[in-house]
Amino acid sequence: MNPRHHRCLERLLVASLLVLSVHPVSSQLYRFGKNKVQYDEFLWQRMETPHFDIYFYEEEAELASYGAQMAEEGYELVERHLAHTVRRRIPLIIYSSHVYFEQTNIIPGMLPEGVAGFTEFLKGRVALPLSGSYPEFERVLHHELVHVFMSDRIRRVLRDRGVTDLWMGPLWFSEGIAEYISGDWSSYGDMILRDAMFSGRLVPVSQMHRIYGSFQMYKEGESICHYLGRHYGKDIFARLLGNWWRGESFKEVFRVTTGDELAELNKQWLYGLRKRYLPDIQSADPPSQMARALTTSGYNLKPALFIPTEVRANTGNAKRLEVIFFRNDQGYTYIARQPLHGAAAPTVVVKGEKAPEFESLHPLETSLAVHPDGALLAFAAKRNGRDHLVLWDLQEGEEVRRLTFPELVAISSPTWSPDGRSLALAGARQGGSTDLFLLSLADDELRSLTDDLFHDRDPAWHPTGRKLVFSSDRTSDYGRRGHYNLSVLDVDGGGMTQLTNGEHEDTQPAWSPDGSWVAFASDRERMYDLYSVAVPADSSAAVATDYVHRLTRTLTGVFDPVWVPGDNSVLFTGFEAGRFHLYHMPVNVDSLRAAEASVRAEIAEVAASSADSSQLALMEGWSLTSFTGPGDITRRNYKREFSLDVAQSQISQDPIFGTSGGVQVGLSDVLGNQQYYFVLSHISGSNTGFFDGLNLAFGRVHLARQLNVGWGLFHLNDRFTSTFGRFVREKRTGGWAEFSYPFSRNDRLETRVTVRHADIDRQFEGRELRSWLLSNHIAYTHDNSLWIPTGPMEGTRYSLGAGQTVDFKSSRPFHMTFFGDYRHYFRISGRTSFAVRYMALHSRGDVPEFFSLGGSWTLRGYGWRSIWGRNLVLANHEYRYPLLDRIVVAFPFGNIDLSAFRGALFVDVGNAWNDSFGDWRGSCGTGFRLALGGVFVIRLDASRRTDFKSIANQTRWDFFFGWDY
Amino acid sequence: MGLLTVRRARSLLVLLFAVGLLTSCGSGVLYAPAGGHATLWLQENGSAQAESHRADGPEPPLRLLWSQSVSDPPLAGPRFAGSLLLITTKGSTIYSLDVATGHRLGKKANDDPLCAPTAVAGRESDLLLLSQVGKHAAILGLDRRTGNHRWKWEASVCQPLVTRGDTLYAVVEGGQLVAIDVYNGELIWQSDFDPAPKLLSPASVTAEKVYRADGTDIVALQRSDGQSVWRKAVGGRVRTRLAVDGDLHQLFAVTGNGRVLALDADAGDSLWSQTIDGLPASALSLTDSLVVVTSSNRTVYAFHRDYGDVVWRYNTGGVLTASASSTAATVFVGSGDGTLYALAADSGDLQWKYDLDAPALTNIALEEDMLALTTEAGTVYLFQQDRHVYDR
Repeated sequence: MNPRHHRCLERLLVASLLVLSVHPVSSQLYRFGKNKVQYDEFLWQRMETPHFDIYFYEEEAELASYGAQMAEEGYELVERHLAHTVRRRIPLIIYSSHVYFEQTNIIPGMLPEGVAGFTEFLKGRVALPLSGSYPEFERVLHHELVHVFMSDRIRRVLRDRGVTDLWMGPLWFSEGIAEYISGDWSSYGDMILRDAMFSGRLVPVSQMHRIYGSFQMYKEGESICHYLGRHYGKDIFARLLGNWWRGESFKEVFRVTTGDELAELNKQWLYGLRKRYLPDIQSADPPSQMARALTTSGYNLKPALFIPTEVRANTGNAKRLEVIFFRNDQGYTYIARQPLHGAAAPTVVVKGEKAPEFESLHPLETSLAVHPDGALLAFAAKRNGRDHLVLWDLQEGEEVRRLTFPELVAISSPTWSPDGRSLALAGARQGGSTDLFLLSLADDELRSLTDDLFHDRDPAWHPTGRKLVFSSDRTSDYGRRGHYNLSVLDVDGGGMTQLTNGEHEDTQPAWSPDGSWVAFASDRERMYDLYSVAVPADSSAAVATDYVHRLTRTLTGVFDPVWVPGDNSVLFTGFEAGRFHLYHMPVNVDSLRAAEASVRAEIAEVAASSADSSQLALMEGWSLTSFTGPGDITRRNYKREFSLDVAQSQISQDPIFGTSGGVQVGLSDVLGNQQYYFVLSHISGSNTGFFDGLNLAFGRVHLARQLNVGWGLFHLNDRFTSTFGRFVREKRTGGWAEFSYPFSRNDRLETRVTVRHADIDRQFEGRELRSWLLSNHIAYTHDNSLWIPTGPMEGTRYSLGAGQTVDFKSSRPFHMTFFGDYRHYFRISGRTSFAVRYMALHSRGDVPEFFSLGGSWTLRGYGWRSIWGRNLVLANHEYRYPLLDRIVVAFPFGNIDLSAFRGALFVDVGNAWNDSFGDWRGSCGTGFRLALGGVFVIRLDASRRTDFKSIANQTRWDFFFGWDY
Repeated sequence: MGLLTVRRARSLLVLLFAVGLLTSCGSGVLYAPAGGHATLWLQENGSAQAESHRADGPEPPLRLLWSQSVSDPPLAGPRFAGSLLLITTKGSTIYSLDVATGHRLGKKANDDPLCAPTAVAGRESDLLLLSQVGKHAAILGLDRRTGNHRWKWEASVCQPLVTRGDTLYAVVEGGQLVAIDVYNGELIWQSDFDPAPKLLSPASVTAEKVYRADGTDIVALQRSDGQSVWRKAVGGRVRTRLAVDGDLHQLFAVTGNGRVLALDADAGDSLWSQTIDGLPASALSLTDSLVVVTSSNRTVYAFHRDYGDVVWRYNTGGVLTASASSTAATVFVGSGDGTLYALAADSGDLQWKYDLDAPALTNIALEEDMLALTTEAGTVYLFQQDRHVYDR
């Protein structure tokens, strides 16, 4: 997990327990990092089925009941495929929305919107949200169960054979097998692999680390598993797992199981892909070959057309149409606009994902809509744990209104009615189901248009404003298997008719300007293409099931069709070379008209011959089965049961300090909301007896609410390296309490109170201090930085605060400390940035704190912590630029692949002092950073000191590990 | 009652004496002279003829005679060897238990990991055949009396070892089928295939032929010299050990994709085929009229041997990875749900069941009126037909 994402209090606690006695407390006061905020509190319950303990909250009781049935069915499915039984009970935690899921404490890291579920291997917990589609929920659940079974099988095989080195195999295999078992091969898989092949980006098995964790890796892994199943039989996976003990790598296990080398598998798999996909180019083209590209960099999708108000007022010229869309070319998603015609570059409309007001814009889930008069943009944005509907003035460039709805957790695809008085949108209820809603802007009344378990999305208004076309999995025959078709809803009457029907994914419908056609994206030919379907004027008798006309024949995939008014053309999103771009393509109207005439005749014939008009009937839909057995279902309130997160011990021998030993234990409940930590150690070399040599620390954190609370007790006695690198012997006994309140993902206020009895032997000063000390500290921290593997690239981080320690028996001020640390990262280009850091620290009192400068992380060119003082100022300026994207170092035993080799040019200025400032100290130089496996960074800095008149001749080299500031 | 007590006491004394005598010879007792019981035993996945069937085997209800822990999960099902029950574990240790009491009489740990189920061979069943893999991969011929090595044949073998008469038939990991003299470990003949078969399955032996799978083919070889007799493409890689009835000239197999095949054992002609759901267990078993196939989808399938019709099917509560074992009237099967099931052979109806302490994933051994199996918790269970319990 990326270390920049972590919980504020949790990591603070662990760190505190370990360093409580090492450093002055001020250095613990602030740490950067984004916050995981508990916006919602739930009353959790537990349901027991034969194999699962299912955790859910009351609002999603129905989902939990369906989930229980799906889980038991999935258990049998995976058991059948892997011929293995998991004997332990599997904890399954269900969330009714991704918004709630993102707040989980089961794992400490942030959960991106792309994560559909996860399996946590320490306690074997599975957690997943409902994203609107029950069939998709079921598929993800089965996917995660494959991980549970696979992990259990491997552990058992290795344990039974006495192998203690647990290894889980390559990620492409574990994700590939999970995809393979949990569902059928999808058109998305074809799209990804076909595109990778034609753009030269297909990655062989031996280099799968290059696409580690990406969607392409998932699909390549799944494709390989399909090949394995076809070539070796569907029992090959059970065989491979059963032989796990016979090798120390997947390569060896594969060889002893199949008799083949992995290289041979790679060769045959790639050959099979070429045979399958290469012929496609004879009949299909990539988007760039069949349409004009409107964008050429970044990711661009979900276009909407509008005529700006100012243009409309002046000319009404359709040629002044503008496109508004989601764009990401710098690491953040934002809303951009540009003219449809011409070569003007996109301009920013709304900056997303930087400010708490637009924490997420959901670019993959939702679309944009501009008011018919071209003045207002409607879009969904996440803020404080739920989606808001935002109305944005395009001319003024400011937010006009922000609407939230208590019954809706998530919002997607708002669309203006033709009269501009209302908006239709898809909304996810607290219980998880996603339905269509109509919002009247006159009185902000939200009316439910559908209310069932089906996933209704992508509503689009007919030009008359009387009906909506939308995509849904409600089709009787196909919806339960996760397929989407189009339906038409009479907004006033409520009647619903089915427009398309089949085993495909018909999505993102858009009415033609005259309302006689609906264009949509579909994978009905195993490629995502644009189609249009004719819709007779009388919608009540207007179902032309599958009378569709194919508009594109794309090699990769196209989505988001938008009719261009008066231009006989469509605008769409195309996928090519792993990127999404906007394209503009003319439509052959003659062909469309001919098809329309043929279709209308056919419709009339069908309507005449079909007395019962069965195709016109409202779809009956499908239903889900709640879990009913076997056996009694036990359902009870959630009761915290703690189990081990971490336990480790260590014994060390030091020539100076003697023998020391210790244990650390971490416990938490199933939901991860309550956590305990224990640290116990002993310094045998202590000459003050057994109890004096004992170090104990205990802490507890409550993370279930937005206000995180922690408290703990400690008794610590040891010698520590302190100010000026000298030893301080201190015995501390006391307790602490800490409160952390995250306002949003980016901002938090935290405070800490510590009461301790300190017995300090400051040998270097020749004095001892014994007193009861009370410390109070408070800090405000902001962090919205965007990271690359070596450190922050864009955004701002700062922390401001103060701390005070007093002898509360005598009211003698021990010390008072103020601090401020501000960092800003200016994006210069896509891959270069200029970083600045300004830091100031000041401590006063009878026993002030001392701060240090020098070394790779502060003032380069000076020795590590070589400058001390109770005052400190520091300014860093650094230009960061790329050098090499990848370095592969070849060894006889294999290659080491290093990524993100970057350079830096820097100037540092600072000083630390007590009473007299002295002179500024400065340095300048260059540095190199190399990211290793995404877990840490190697830094090498070459610097020379400067007195700001000349630069010293001596170069100081600093080698260190750690991210850029 | 008094007579019974006297009988029991006498039996106990004899047993104690025998145990003392045996254990005094060393701690690794893996051999006991044949007693009054028949000395036939079922080999892993059935006998050399691949029959997991004993017409005179126990009929339900059964009574638990004893249970004993061997700590490790089993590598394969237990083996009756005269008055001993041999258990090979995944920890590469062989235990010998007294059939009458369950007392552990011997234990032999192998330094290298064992891969194939242990086999017993020799005219007096005095040979123990082990197959170890790793750096010192070899088939080992051990004297069961002394535990000493008699011979060693270097090869990596993980498919069950099959013996018939004085010959051992083994499929080595390079794909070759070898016939080895069980007394001296000398190679009698070797059958190579080009290209070498992948995803191996064990051989099956009749009086005249040796059968094995070769990729998606089934091959019949002369037992005397390994020369090919016939080859038949079956359209899928055979996962199970072939079940051959030499008398009725029938051969049965299941592919990894779940196709159940019946062939003419003499010429290789297809007789019928069926499909099952899930992954088949490593072997199938034959009764007089049925082919019984167990599957990972928790189901026991019984097909008519001659016509392939599904005679019955039975759903257990857990995954099935071991083949069924049958008597004249009953099909026994151990399940991943930790239950031993006894099903009526003619109807598939549940006759009796017993809750075990853990899943039973290896084969069941049958011996006259006894049934033995080992669970994944390393517990060995010995059941006896109820009517004989008080007669012993």
